[in-house]
Formats: sequence, structure tokens, C-alpha cells
Amino acid sequence: MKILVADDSATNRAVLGALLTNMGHQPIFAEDGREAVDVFERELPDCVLMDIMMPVEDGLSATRRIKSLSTGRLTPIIMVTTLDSETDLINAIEAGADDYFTKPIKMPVVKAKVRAMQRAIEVQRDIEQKTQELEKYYYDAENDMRITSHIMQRMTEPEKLNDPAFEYWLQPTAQCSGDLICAARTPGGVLHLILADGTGHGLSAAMDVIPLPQIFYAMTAIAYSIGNIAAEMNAKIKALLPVDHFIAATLLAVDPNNQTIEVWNGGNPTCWILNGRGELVHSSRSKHLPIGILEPADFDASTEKVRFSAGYRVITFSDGLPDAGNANGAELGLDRVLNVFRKTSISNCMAKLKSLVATHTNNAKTHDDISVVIIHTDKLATWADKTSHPNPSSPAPSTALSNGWRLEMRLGATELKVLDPIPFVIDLLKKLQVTDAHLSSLFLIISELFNNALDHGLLKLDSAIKQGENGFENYLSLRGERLAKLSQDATLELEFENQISERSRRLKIRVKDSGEGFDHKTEVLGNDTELQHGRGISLVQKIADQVVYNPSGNEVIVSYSL
Amino acid sequence: MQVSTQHTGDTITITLEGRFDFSAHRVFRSQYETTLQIPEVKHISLNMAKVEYLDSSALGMLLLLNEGARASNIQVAIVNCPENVMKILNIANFGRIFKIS
Repeated sequence: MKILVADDSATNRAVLGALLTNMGHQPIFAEDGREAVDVFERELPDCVLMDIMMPVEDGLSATRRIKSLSTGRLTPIIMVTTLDSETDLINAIEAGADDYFTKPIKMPVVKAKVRAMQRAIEVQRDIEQKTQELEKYYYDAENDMRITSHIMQRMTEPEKLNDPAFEYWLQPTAQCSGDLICAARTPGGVLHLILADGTGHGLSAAMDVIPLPQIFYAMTAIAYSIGNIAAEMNAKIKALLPVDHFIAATLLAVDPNNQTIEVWNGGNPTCWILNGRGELVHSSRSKHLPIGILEPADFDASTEKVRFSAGYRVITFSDGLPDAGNANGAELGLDRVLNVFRKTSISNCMAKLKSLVATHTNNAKTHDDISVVIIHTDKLATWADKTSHPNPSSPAPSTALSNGWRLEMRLGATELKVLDPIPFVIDLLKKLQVTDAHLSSLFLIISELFNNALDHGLLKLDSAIKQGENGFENYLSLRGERLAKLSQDATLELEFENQISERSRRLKIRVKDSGEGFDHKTEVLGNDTELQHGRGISLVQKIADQVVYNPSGNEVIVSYSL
Repeated sequence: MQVSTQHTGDTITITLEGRFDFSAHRVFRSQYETTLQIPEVKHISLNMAKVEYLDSSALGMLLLLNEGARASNIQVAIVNCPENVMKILNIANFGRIFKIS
């Protein structure tokens, strides 16, 4: 230690200096109080031995001045008093001295006191260093949070959350949220939405969900089903995250054209479907393990599908909402959340929900991130709405398609059971620079023709089954049964050909199945509901130039102007 | 959280008590790692009767235990779950991985 000895007696300075040197310290000297303060400022010693009675400025005054200087750094001052008087002692301590000893100097006492001070200094230095390290950790953590938050924001593409068909609320507990909401439309106008909740909250939870948005947007853009998207996310997350990290997620597909709501729920609270009167008509409880736990081969991508009608809403949220606790630890609970939707007018539900949480938690920070989504099916805008618009914006002609490309696909029973070919075709058309507006029309045409060929041509399903109560559910379960038993020699062909002449650019689409053919007039055209809703083949006839079925009805050729 | 174990034959019962959350990570992990080292163990029974609370990081710890147990051919059962614990395990569909009662 560097120790300042302030004493006007040369003898005392010499004695104390020799003692300190002997103890392994480095003594420096001052002959009066003023010099002591000057040397202190210049040399910043670790400890001071200060005589009280000195010329120019006494030890008490110098001590007061030194103590007012050394802020943040403990520098013990030991007073050296001539008299063993209580007044001296009190004055010394009040001036800021940490200890004292009396003259005549007794070597063992000085040694012991300097050692005691050294221990105090070491503890203090240790704390100082740890505080600095903590400050650095804190700063680094804040910085990591800021960067993660930035990446999250970029990756979730928040501008896509401006779709009028839904409202959302995301309240993170930390700067980074472990809850994530992404939404986008497929080329066919289907709203895809994911509400994901990574393990825990804060930085590590936010890191967990970072891979999801890219998968979600890339696959939605080419019309993969939410089951396929969930499976892909599971494979990616399983490969990336440690065993004890996973993501609870609800994936939704709300199709305005077919008026269906499709749900995949793995580990999130039950997703509610309410009718126009605010009554709960369907509960999609978690039927799967969260994303990132199962091996890809064990993953279950099956979804639930429900048909909706006017005024239906879909409500999904993370467990942070029902689990939000008040000061006594009482949770908000599902009943109170559901009550909001029963009793509040449709446009006020989200505001009411926020105020309910604020009141319950008394505006305190919640323990977990909260995220809520309300989808209003009435605001989805169907394709029919778009095309019946008084001034439909006709898509600009595509220029980038070169002449002469042709794609032909032939799927057997095995492929049809496991594969949805439409995303491949849409992806290809996208890469061939077909504009989004055309892609949207083409998706509708291709998926309609493909589904007709599969459902009516190969699986021989009668559209009439869809009518009536539970008709839609019955239709879907029958479809599943028949697809599983599809005969091995069944085939379905898809052909796409780009035809360019001087006057026109067209895409020819041909779909043929190995079935006996079906009467497209009664099966898909003569259906009043389909016509009424502007769906199905009548919609295809509206957007395509020409739709021609062969006489037996197992082949259709559509011509579409690009 | 407090963790205690009881060894009978080829079964180890791990009894958990209190809040099973991130703060329990170290004690839970060291306990099950010791358990997995014991050669004659064939079954681990996690007694949840006294667990007051369980969060998603606790679910993560159960997955870690399961992974370790699977590598040593040990069956893991989660028993005596109180209602609130059962609810959380059900939402996460952990019944597909563990025997839960």
C-alpha cells in the first residue's frame, strides 16, 4: 500500500516511515496539514496516518478536506494523537477519521491498525471491482436486448400486422418479447396467423422464437397449409434449440372464400370461436405438444377445421393473459376473459380486455408476456368482394414469362396421401416472375381444379354432404377416410403450359384424374350456395377466359390471360 | 423448491416441494443427474403432490430429465399431480411423453 504519513516531527516521520517500509508498504510524507492535502491529491495514497497537532493546517481540518475529496474510494485515515483524551478522539472521528492511535508510538499497535485498515481496503476494492463487473454485465445485457429486439422487429415484419381482419395486443414483460405474433395472407387471400410463446420470457425466450417468422412468411407466400408450416417449424426448432426449450404455438388459417377456420394448437391456451352473438361455438384446445419437442417423424400436423358464418370471431392468446396475477397472486382466469367477449360490444373487446388486465394487476408489471389476437371473419374480404368491386383493378400483364415453358406433374395415390402439390406450383410461378395479383387468381383456379379432381373425381365425395348441421365436419372426416383407402392405381395429372402468340399471353392449365368423371354441372356448378357465395368453379369461370370439361368430366382445361 | 429422494428396489421416487420454476434448475438437475448414475434404477417416479406451481422452464427441466432417462433406459412417471399442475401438463400434452397420474 502507498501510505501517507503527515507529521511535523521529522523523528516521527522517520520512525513511522521505517516501520511501514519494513511492513512492505510504500510511505510518502507531508510536514503539515495543507501539504498533506496536496500530496494526497497528487499521489492518491491507499491510507493516511495523520497527526492532529500540526502547523499551517491541523490534522482535523486536513482530514475533513481529504474526506470530502475521496468520493467513491475508501481511504482510511488513522489519527495520531499526543494525548489519550476523549475530546481528541471524538473530534478525530467527527472529522472523518476511521481509527486512531496515541503517541508515544507503540510499534505493535501501529502495525495491527495498519493491517486492519488494509483488510478493510481489500474488501472495499473487491466490492468496487464486482460492482464494475455487474455494471458491465448490465450494460451488455441491455445491449443484447436492444439488438435482439431490433432483429425481432425486423423479422416479424410488423407492417403485415396492419390487416383489418384482426386486432392484436402484445405486452412484453422485458424489452424483448418471448411472445410472437405474425400474420400474412396466402396467394388465395387466406389469413394465416401464428401466436407463439417461447419458454420463459426476456432475451432467451425471444431468441427461441426468432427462427419462426421467416418460415411462416416464406411458406404462407406459396400457400403451404398451416399443418405443413407447423411441421417445418418443429423440425427447425428441434434442430436449433436445447432440449429444455420449446415454443407453445397456435397457427390459424381463416379462409374467407370457403368460410373455414383451421387451427393447430400445440401448448397454448384454448382458442375460442365465437358466433355473432358472442356465444362460444367451438373451443380448439391444445391437442399437440409444443413446437420443438418431438422428432420430425413423430410430429402430428393434423388440424381442426370449422366452418364460420356471419359475425364469427376467433380469439387466441398466450397463457400470460389468464395467468396475469394481482398483488395477492390471484390469477385473472379464463372465465373473466371469456366474459369480456360475451358482454362487450364487438368493437370494444380489446380495449375492455386491456383495462380488465390493468385493473386486475393494478397496473403492475405482469410475470409473463401477454399476447392476444381477435380475428373478425366479417372483415376478411372475400375474393368475390374484390372482383365485384365497381372498378376492379385488372392485373398488369406479366412480361417476364418466356415462351414455351411447360410443367407436367403426375401424382399417384401414395403422393396424394402425403403431398400438397399446390405450393410447389405457386413457388415455381413466383420464381417465373408471375405478379402477385395473377398469382392470387391462379392459386384460386389451380386449387379449385385440384380439389375438385381429388374430392369429386377420385374420392367420389358428394358436395351435398356439406349441407346441413355438421355437414362440413362429416364431409371432412369422410374425405380423410376415403383418402386413406385410395386405390393404388389412382392418378391425378396437372399440366401448365405458357402459350404466347402475337396477340396474347396465356397460361393453359389442365387437370385430369383417373376417376370415372363427375358431373361438374351438378357437383360444382349447380350448387346454389356455391353460386350465392361466388365460390368454387363459378368463381373460376369468372376469372379465367375459358373453362372446358371433357364429356366424361374427368379432365378440365382452363385458359388464363397473363 | 426442496427435493428429496427415496430408493426402493429399482425405483427412485423424487419428491418435489414448493415452486417448481427456473430457480429450481440447479437443485433439480443435480438431483436427477445423481439418480441417473445409479445402475440398478429402472424407474423414476416424480412425486408432485407438494408442488405449488409449475412454469414453462419446469416443463423444460422435465424434458431434460426425460432425455437423460431415455439414454439410460429408465422410465419416468409423474405422479400425484395437484389439479393446477395437471392442467399445465395437459395443455402442453406432456402425457404423450410421460406417464402422468
